[in-house]
Amino acid sequence: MIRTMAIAALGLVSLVSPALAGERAAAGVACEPTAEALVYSCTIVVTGRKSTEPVLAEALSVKADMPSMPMAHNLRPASAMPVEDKPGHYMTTLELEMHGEWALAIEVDGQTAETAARVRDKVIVKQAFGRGRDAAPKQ
Amino acid sequence: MLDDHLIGVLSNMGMISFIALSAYLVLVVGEISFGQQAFFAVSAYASGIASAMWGWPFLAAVLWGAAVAGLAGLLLAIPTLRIRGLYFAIATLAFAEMVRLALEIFTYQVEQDGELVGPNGSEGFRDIRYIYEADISAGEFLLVILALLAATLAIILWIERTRLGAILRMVGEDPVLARLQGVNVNLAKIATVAAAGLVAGIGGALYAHLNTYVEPKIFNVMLGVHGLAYGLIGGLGTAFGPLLGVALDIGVLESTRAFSGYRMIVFGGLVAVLLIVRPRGLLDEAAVYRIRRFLLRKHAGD
Repeated sequence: MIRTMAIAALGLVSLVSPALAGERAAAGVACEPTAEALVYSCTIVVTGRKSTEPVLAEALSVKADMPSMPMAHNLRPASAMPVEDKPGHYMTTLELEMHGEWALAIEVDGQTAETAARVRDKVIVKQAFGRGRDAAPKQ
Repeated sequence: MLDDHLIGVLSNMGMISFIALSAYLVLVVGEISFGQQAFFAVSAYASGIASAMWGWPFLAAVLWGAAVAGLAGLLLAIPTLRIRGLYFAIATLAFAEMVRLALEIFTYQVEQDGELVGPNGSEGFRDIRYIYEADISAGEFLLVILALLAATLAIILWIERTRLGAILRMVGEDPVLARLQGVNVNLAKIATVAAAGLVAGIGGALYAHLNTYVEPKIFNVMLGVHGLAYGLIGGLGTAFGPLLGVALDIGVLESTRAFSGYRMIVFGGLVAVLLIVRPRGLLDEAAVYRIRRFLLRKHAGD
C-alpha cells in the first residue's frame, strides 16, 4: 500500500515538475515509391540538433498521420533499421492508406555517436506523397 | 504488456473521447455543434505555450489550456444565445473556422537555447516536448490520459444523476417548457457550452503534449464532425454513449484494419443508417432505462 502510494506520488511529482533539458534530435527523410501502390521506401538521417553528430538509435520508429485527418489513421509504427557503414542513417518501409500530406513522427531513443549524449525525442517531418509529389519533404 | 501501436490507438481513443464528450454535452442541451475542435485547438496552443515557452509544469499547462478553452466556450455561448438549431450549428462551425484561420496567422515565438520556439502561423507549433524532457513514456502518458478521461466521465455521470442533470435534459427536450418550470435556460446553455469547451480543452492539451507538434490544419471541421458523430452513433442517453461511438469507430473499424482506407466511407454510412433507425444513437434514453432496470432487477435478485 505504502509502496503503491509512493510510486503514485513520484508519478505526480514528475508531472508537476518543470521539464529537464537534454540533447534533441534533427531528422531528414527521403522516400521513394516502390512497385507496390502506397508503399514507400524511406531513408532517415538522424543527427543531434546542437552537436550535429549522427545519432545511434537503440530504437527508431516512424508513425505516419495525416494533419488534415488527425487521429483518424492509426497506422502501425514502422521500425527503422540502421544502414551499414552510415552512422545516423536508417531505412524503413511505409505503407500508407492514401496519397496526400502526411506528418511522419520519428521517435528516436539512442545516443550521439561521439559524445554519447542521450537522445530521446520525437521529430515531425511533413511530407507529401502521391503522383508527381513524392519525396518532397516540407519542414 | 501493450505494444507501441496499441498504446497509440488507446491514446488516440482517449484524446478524441474528450471532443466526443464535449459535443455530447452540447447535444444534451438540444444543440448541435460542428465546432468543438476550436476548443481543442485553443487549448492545444495555450497549454503548449505554457509548458514549452513559459516553462510551466505539465499539469498546470493542461489546466491552463482547459481554462482558456472554457473561456472560449463562454465567448461563443453568449452571442449565440438567441439562435437555435441549424443556425447555432452554422455559428459553431463559423467560430471554429475563425479560430483555425486565426491560428494560421498567429505567431508568437521566443528564443530558447539559440532556437525559436512557439507558434509560427501555418507552419504550426513544434517542440512541445515536455514528456520527452521529463522522460515520460508513451505508456505512462496513456495512464494520464485515461485518468483524466475517467475523472471527466465520472463528473459528467455524477452531474447527470443530480437535479442539474435533469434540468439540462429538460432544456434540451423543450426549452420553453423548461422556462415555464422556472429554469434559467440561458444560464444552463451558457454554462454547458463553456463546460463543453473546457472538456474539449483537456483533450487538446493532451494531444499537443503527446504529439509534440500542432498546426492549424489539424483542427479542421473533420475533427469536429467525428466528435459529433461519436455521440450520435454511441447514443445520447448517457455519457458512455460517445465513448461507445469512439470504441466502435477507432477501436473496431480502424484498429482491426478490416476496412483499411475505406473506413471513412463505412463510418459515414454507419452514421447515416443510425440517424435513420436510431436517431438518438445506440445507447439512447430508452436503452439506458432498460439497462438500468435490468441491472436493478439483477441487483435485487442477488
